Amino acid sequence: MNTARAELLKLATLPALALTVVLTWAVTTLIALVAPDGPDPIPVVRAGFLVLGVLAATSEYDGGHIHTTLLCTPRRGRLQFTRTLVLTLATVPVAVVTVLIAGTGDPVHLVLTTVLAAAVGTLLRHAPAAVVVLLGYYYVLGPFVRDRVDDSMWLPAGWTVVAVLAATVAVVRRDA
Amino acid sequence: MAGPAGALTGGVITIEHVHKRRGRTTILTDVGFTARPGRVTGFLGPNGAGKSSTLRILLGLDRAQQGTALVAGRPYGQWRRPLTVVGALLDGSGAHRSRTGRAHLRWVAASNGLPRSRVDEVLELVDLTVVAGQRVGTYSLGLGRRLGLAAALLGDPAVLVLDEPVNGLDAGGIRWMREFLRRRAAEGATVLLSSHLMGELAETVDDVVVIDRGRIIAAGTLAGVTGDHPTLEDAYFALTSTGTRGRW
Amino acid sequence: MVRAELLKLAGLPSVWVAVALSLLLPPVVVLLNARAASSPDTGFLELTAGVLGPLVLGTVAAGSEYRGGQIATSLVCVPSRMRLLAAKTGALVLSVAVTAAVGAVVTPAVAGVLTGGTGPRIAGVVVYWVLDALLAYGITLLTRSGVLPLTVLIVNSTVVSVSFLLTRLTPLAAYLPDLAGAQMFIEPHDVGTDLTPVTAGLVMGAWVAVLLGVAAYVFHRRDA
Repeated sequence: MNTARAELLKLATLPALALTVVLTWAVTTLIALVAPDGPDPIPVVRAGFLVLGVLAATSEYDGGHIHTTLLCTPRRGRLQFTRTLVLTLATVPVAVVTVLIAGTGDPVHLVLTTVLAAAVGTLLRHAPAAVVVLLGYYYVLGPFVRDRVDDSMWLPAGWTVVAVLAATVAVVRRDA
Repeated sequence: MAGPAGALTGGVITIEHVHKRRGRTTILTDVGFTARPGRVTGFLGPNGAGKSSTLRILLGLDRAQQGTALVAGRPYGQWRRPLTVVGALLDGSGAHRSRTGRAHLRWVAASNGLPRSRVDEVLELVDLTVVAGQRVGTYSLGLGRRLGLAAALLGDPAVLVLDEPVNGLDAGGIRWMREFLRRRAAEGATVLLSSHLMGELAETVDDVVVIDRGRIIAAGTLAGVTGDHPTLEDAYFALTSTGTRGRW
Repeated sequence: MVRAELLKLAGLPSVWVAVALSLLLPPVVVLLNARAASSPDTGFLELTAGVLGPLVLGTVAAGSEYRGGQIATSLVCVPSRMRLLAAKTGALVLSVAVTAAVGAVVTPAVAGVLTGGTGPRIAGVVVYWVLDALLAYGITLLTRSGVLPLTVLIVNSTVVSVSFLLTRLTPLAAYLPDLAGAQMFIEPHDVGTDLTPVTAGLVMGAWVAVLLGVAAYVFHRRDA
């Protein structure tokens, strides 16, 4: 419980996260207003959720921050589990509001996207690198590679589980 | 949890047979020593000798291939609320630059179930109250170190582990740190600090452990390690690979 | 001084990853899509995948100065900020242009559409990549963070970009840098306003010039 409270405080006191949420909502609103009957805004604003996850995870690797975290909570498996859980729960309202503004989309999908991005961010420990990998896949390479295969539900869920497990193993095993 | 002032009972720090390799590089070879309650133990060695690596293994941040490192009888990672047992100061502030100093201490306190009132107490203690509302990114090196120290003191621990504690402090800060550590030890705390500044160390410590190229080459009381040499500094140069006219 | 800036870039592993991305991604995409019906843009549409590299190069060229206080070292070496910026910009343009020139020949060749007539389009790709790298570079100089420029420019390099959606609001959106720039080498999307490749290049160039002007002004004025 203590760890969960600390993780929630961390998320709440990072200006970059609040800024990302506000920008995501602003872009959603803009697209919904510009093209009410036009293309789905969700593919564009998904980028906001990717960035949210990346920043939540990589903020640990600013300066010696991860040392402080591990000194406070040395049980790393439990730490990573709690972090993932808190991020998941904190993203739910953000996703629900986005879907309400857009009038379309699936909040669960957006939450999973954020958790996946956080796992990739934890693995890479560097925000720009994680952004290039994730956005590069979702926006540049993906459209060519998955060519007209619409992403069904199980696919992001499966990848999220794999990424979260990999990130947990990395956190537990590597030197901080 | 520590008792009232004057009655701290710091646990012993015990490091035994620690070996650490990173890739093909051997960082530490059979490192072992103890730091006792009521005493300030100085951990001395040139740059890159393995001081920080040893302290990071002691604090559960890095893993050793062999050996044990215990604080008050347990590995650091097995303490449920470690901040109430051990306070640690590593390089830098340990905080994210876009949080305020106070917000940083609040989440640290929350993680170990410490009351919020402790945040204001330690801010006062390290004289950081005025800038507590500013983002850590605006802090000078010295202010960042004081924030790190504030976090280390949140749980009122009876064991202190400090990596180069006077780095970045001004003359006043150095004197304050020295007196603070002496007072904590006099109250019964275990204090382990690393340094490469001999003159500084000689005035603060009771016991000395000297490390060079990943091996412990001397350990004992300040008088014992200094031996027949006029000063600790002379003893240090005689013991380590750092000659007075050496690489520099 | 350009040499010093080129050495700085060459010392960063992420720069080589970026170069590899630009050179390898588009041909790989061509091979993966080999069975798809060919269009007038085959071999060139795929090149848009390579733009990741220039974006990373632009971000790294500016952002690396703000890690570990390297900017202080740079300004001690070259106290004139305008000269430092000019050298840095020159090094970036040079490295992206070389990468782009190689990439823009290899990919159409792999796709089997390289003919004598594709010269102008190849030039268009090179100019587009250089300008896109400069956009990333300018925004990074202003924000001192790589995340914002990378996010905005990567998302906007796709067909579902915000700029494209804006063309439904006003035809003027076709003059936004990404939409205008792409018209240098691929057939325009349905954006309402067609630009000739040369006009397109000038429009994108103007955006870049304004951005770099602002970035240079801010870089000159603020404390390092």
